[in-house]
Amino acid sequence: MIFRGAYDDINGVRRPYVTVFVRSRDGVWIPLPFLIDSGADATFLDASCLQQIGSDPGAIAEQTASGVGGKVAHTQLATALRFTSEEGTKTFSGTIGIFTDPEACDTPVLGRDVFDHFRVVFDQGRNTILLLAPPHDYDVILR
Amino acid sequence: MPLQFSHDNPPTPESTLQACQLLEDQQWYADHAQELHERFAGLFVAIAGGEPFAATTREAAYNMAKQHKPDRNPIVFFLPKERKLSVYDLSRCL
Repeated sequence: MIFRGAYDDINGVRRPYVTVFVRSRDGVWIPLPFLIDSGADATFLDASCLQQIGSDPGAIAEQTASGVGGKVAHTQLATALRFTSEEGTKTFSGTIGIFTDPEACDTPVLGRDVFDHFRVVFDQGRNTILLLAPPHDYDVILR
Repeated sequence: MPLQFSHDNPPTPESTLQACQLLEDQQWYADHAQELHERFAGLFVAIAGGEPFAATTREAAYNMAKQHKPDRNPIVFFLPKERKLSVYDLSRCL
């Protein structure tokens, strides 16, 4: 299967995104644009997703995640992520972190816990982001 | 339990249509990100069928788009007032 992302470009800063469905507490699948972050060990949602996904941050104990900017608080939500392509869907389930501080991050972040299950191709020159899963793969041809 | 692979499903007419619409809207956002930022900086913008719907919360933008395009699954982006260079590097420390 091939899942395609896209680069946006705001004021000359380009960021790679892929849209993934996240299951809300009511069982509704909501598409969210995830920043693909090869430096993140885990996948997180930003605080703005709390209302839409239906999590109650007060009901779950806070934990912390550390990054370059310091430590930030987050809660954990049991949910599922679903990638969709014309060739089918791929689903992950478990818990995902949700930042409780709106200033911590302004977009959902896709970490290596998920995208290590794919062969990931970033090619800004060709404006292409591919997440490949069997039967698809790639080879590098040396010229 | 951390996120783990659960299962694959083969395509259905519904999932194929959903995937096509999602790709269209994702690419439409990518192609218009600068213009959207100039119009809606600081707001959430839902993209559905090549149209933007802006609001102050993610949920409100989604609901507005869904009202106008009930057959679509709107994708909601946040457009910060200023995009700064940043390093997220979120490592788990549980």
